[in-house]
Parts: sequence; structure tokens; C-alpha cells
Amino acid sequence: MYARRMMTFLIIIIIPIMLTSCLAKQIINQNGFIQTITVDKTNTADIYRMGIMFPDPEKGSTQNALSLSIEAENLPKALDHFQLKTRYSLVIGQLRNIIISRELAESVGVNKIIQTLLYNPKFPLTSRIMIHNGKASDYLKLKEDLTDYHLSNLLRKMQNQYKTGTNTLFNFVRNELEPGVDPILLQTHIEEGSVGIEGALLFKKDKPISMIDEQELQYLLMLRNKKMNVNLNISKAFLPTNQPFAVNNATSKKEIRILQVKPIPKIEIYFSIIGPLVSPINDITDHSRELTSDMIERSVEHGLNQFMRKVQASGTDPIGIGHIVRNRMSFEEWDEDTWREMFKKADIRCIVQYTLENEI
Amino acid sequence: MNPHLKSFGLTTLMFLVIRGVTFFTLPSLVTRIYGTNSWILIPAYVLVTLGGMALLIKGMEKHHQQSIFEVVHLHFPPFIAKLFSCLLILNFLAVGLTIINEYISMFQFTVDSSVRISRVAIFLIIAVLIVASHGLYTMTKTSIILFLISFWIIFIEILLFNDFSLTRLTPFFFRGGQFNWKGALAITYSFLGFEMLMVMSPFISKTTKAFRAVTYSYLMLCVYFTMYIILSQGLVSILQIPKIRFITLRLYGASRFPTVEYITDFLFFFFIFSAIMSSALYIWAANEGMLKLVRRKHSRTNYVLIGAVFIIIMALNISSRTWQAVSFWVGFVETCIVVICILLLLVLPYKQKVSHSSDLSANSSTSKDPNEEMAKEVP
Repeated sequence: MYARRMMTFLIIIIIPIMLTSCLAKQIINQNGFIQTITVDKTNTADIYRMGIMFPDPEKGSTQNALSLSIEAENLPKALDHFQLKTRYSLVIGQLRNIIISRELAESVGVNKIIQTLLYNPKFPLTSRIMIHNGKASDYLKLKEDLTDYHLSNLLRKMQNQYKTGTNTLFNFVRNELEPGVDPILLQTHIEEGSVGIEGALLFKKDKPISMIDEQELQYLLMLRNKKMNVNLNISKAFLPTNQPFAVNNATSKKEIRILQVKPIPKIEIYFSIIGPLVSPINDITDHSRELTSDMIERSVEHGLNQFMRKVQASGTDPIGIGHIVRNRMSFEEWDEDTWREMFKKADIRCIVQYTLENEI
Repeated sequence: MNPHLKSFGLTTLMFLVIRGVTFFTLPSLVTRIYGTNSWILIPAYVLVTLGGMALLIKGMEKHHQQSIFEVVHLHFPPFIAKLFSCLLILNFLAVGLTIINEYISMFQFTVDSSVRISRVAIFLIIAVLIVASHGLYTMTKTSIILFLISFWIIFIEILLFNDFSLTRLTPFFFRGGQFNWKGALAITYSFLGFEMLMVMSPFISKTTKAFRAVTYSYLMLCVYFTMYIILSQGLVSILQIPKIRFITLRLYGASRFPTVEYITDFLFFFFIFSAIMSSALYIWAANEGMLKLVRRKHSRTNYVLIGAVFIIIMALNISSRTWQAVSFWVGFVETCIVVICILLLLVLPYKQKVSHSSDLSANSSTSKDPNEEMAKEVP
């Protein structure tokens, strides 16, 4: 009786395993695990140049990537073509990067591109989506597997450094559909055969409208995230010294307070920053002992407020203030376009409170 | 002799049966129908269900733990009793089949379009029939193991709270939804499962507090469902949720873990246990009804026949829209049956079984001790 029960139990376990895993025999080194997809504009409407890159499974090294590209209406059509051009079975489930040319993103919008890609249920929503100022297919010409691991590792490093991440496909779609917040995407570039991050693009719905350079990227992330790690450069203009200082590896916490919604929204954004102040050798730095938290606060506040004005002028709300303002209105009152106008005119003030954790 | 069902086994079995497969779509459905902060309605739905179950158990106690088939055969003329039993059997079989179809549709959605629903269905139907044919006691014991190896998934969801936003949850209640009765009823079906007690009652130990045991299942599921809906509404905007068919799978798909990035398949695998147990219990209940209808009681023949019919139906080219409509109407009939059965159990007076009456005893197994029956089923 015990044996029969065990047998029943085994059958119950084995059947689901059969159902969920080995549907078709696939030898792992006969698979081409697509790591990167690039999408570029073509001269024909609704036709895109789609490129894929995957590591050569037989050479067994991450430095031997294979790439293919074709003009197609959507990814399934492109993949049908690619399947005829390689002996490897192409697998989409390990995709890491989607790189879209800025020209294409500006002309048709990122939504349309996503629609041409997301046909397969295995398409990972955690893949990183980025905009390239130039031809996205240039990534396929790189000899190293830059787009595969280097770019992915670069983003992971950023994510670990800031303790936040906002560049996934899931996040973009969510922000795009959400009332009161606009999406952002990182813009990548190739310099001397190496790939890097140039800054971030602010979007109005799904179209990029302005660029935030790498200096301001951190302010953008501070304003978007509730809590993150920051490295802040303190300008000497705010210090009694002849050299700039830095706040390293500090924790920044944000709180948005809506003081007034109408007629002009009045908003205060509080930052509570705690971290060590890093200076050059104190012996050769004048007045370094006279540095106060207040000076640091003014410097960071100045940077944040200046950045805030720039964002307001762009007419997009990547910070998600609209999200909070909407909760202060009646449900029917909210209107996305009206909010954009209100946001432009809003009186937004960033207030920083810095706690000097240590002097290094 | 096999022992009767005990509390823990009953709790785990009902947990798996009620969880079923509908909870994958539940957050989308609830948000679409009731709008913002509609998670608050889940405890209300559970309370109504518990009320229904309390009445059912009261009726069962009144009839000294007789199953609904026995009660019907004892009180109504054979023709009406058989007709009513047939309706119950057909409905239970239809519920079992729609659960299988729903799971495989999701399976195709998760894996890819190369999955052939009719072929995969054969495996699942076989698994369900094997489980059902071993009888209630084995099902209960299996459910304990399956419960223990699948319950932990809820803790993975807690990791998603990192990205959770109270602002997204909004301070508004029941705004932005598009209420319709069809949707509200479809939500009700997600909470059905307790009606199986009216077939299981003869097999439940007299010392087992069935109401308490099943209430524990419902309370766990109340936490489970509520948490998934709060998570969905705090992670994805109310405008987006109704557009996502299987929101729970989407949330799994969007989860990023330090070691594994795409875990949907892995987690989805564990829900097959719910699908199997849920479908198996309904098919077992249908078989119990069939045994009351026929003179010669061949349980295995019934299961083989059920399997053959199921495989043929799954092989037919039925569109997903038709399946959705069938699923809705099967749920509707089931809800009506639950209400009618509760009323019957409460209204009809208790009638003792007549051991040697000619027709009735020949056509039903009511005169037998359920233990004997179980001893046959579970060697």
C-alpha cells in the first residue's frame, strides 16, 4: 500500500515536471541565447532594421559574439529570417539589452517599437531598454561582446552603486501608462570601441523630448527614488575653501509634501542625506575646519533646484509629483495634459538636510 | 479500514482546491470591475462564502452527514433524483474540465505557442484521473505534501514590496472600475469550492470540525488573494492592470532576483498542484454521483470514460472565447446549484437510509459505510 502511494506521488510529481520542462530536447550549446536586440529606422514606414547579437556557443567564450540584422516589420518576422541564417536555435528568454536608435524613438515612439518586439511570452520584461544617439546597429559591429555583458554589467554596477534601477522594459511600460509620471531611459554611446552611458532621456508619454547629461543624472535619480545611494560633489562656490569637497556613498531619502494644489501647485521636496564628507588632505586645504552642514545643504539644494527648473521647463514629470498631486484631487478632476501645464508653473522647492556622518 | 478525513488534511485539500487557477486572473478582474483599492472587497467575499458554508454545514448536520446525492435520492422520486444528480455530475465534470483547460491555456501563455493544448491536456487529464481514482483519503494526504511544497511561494511576493507604492494605491475607493454583474459573478466563482463538502460529508470524521478546517483554508486564501491584489494595485497603475490577462504571472515575470532573472516558469510549475487537486476533487465528486446512479459500480470504468470524453473534448477545435463563455456559465450553474443545495439541505427533513429497499439501495451506495467504500478505493 505504501509503495502504491509512493508511486502515485511520484507520478504526480513527474507529470508536472514533464509538462513544465522538457517539451523538446534542446542541447544547450546548440542554442543561440540572444543577448541584445537593436532597432533602427529605415526609409520605409513601419519597417525597422532589427539586429540581434548572441554569443557563439561553440567557441565557448563570451568574446565571440555573432550578430545578424534584417529589415522587418516585427521581431517574429526577423527571427524567422535569422533562423535560416544560423545553425543555432535562437532563444529569446535570456535577452538583456534592447537598444533603440534615438531617431526612431523620436519619430514613432518607444511604444510602437515595444509592440513590434513583444510577441513571445518568454520575452523578459526585466531586459534593459536603452536609447542610442546614432545607429543602434553600430553595437553589432563591435568586435567585443560589449553589448552583451559589458553594457549589462555597467548597468548592474550603476544599479548597485545607486541601489536603484529604473531602466527595465517593465518599468518603462508602467511609467508610460501610469497617470502623473513620465518615463525616463538611459542614453548610451560608443566611444573608441567602448560602450557607455551618456545621460538620461526625459519622455513625454513614449517620445523622448529632452536629455539630462551625466552630471544631472544623479539629481534625476534622487528626485525619482524614495531612497538611494549618492555621491555628491560640493562646489567650492559654497565652501570657504579653495577646493571642492565630496559627499561619498551617502544615503538620500526623499519626501514630497504638497502644500497647495490650486491655483498654482506649491510643493516642497525634502531630502535627508547622511554620509561622510570626503576632502583632500586637510593639511593643504584652507579653512577645511570651517565647513558646516549648512554649506553642504545649500550647495546640494542649489543643484537640485536648478535641475528642477530645467525639468519643469521640459514639460514632463519624470519625478512623479503628479502621482501625488492626483491623490489630492477628486478622482474625476485629474487630467494629464492639465497637469503638465500646472507642473510647468508649479512652485517646487527642494530642501536638503545633511547629516555629517564622518570626515574622511 | 481507512480513517476518516481529519482537520489538517481537509484544510490543505480545500486550500488547493479553492486556490485553483482563477487567482492568476483575479487581481485584474477585481480591479476592472471595482476599480481602486478593491482589494478591500476580498474579505467581504470570503465572509459571504463563509456564511454560505455555515448554512451548508448546518444542513449537512441536520441530515447526519449524508451526501447531497443520498439526500436527493431519499427525498425525491427516482426520476427527479436522477435528473438532479445528472445535473450535479455534469456540472462537476464541466468544472473539472474548465480548470484543466484554463491551466493549459496559461501554460501555453507562459511557455510559448508551440505548446499544443490538446496534447498537453492528455498528460494533465491522466494525472487528474489518477489522483481522483485513488479516492478522497489519498487526495487529502497528497494535498498535505503538495500544500507544504507550494505554500512558500507567497513569501516570494513579499520581495516585490520593494517596488510597492502607497501613492499608486491611491486614497480613492472603488473608482475607475467598470462594474458589471457578469464580472462580479466571475469573482464569486473564485471563492467556490466549499460546496464539495456536500459530497465529502460522509467521509469526514465526526470529530473533525469541518467548518473550522475549511474556514482556515478560506482565511489563508483571503490573505493570499488580498495580498496579490494589494501588490498588483500598488505595483501597477489601475489603468494598466485590467489590460493584463494574468497579472500574477506578469508580476513574477517582472521580478528580478539576485540569482535568477526569469522565474515565471519555475513558480508557475507549483500551481499545477492546485489545478490537479481542484480538478480531481470535482471529478471524484462526479464519480460519487455516478456510483449512485448505476447498479454496477465500476469506479475505474467511470474514470476511463470521463478521461476519454475529456480527451475528445480537448481535441475538438474550440476557440478560447467559447471556453471563456463555457467557464462563465459553468460557474453560474455551479453557484445556482450551491444555493439550491443549501436550501434543500435546510428545508428537507432528515430521512434515515432504508437498508434493503428495492430500487434505492440498488441504485446507491448510501447503505454502505463510507469506510468500506474508501477501503475499496484506497487499498
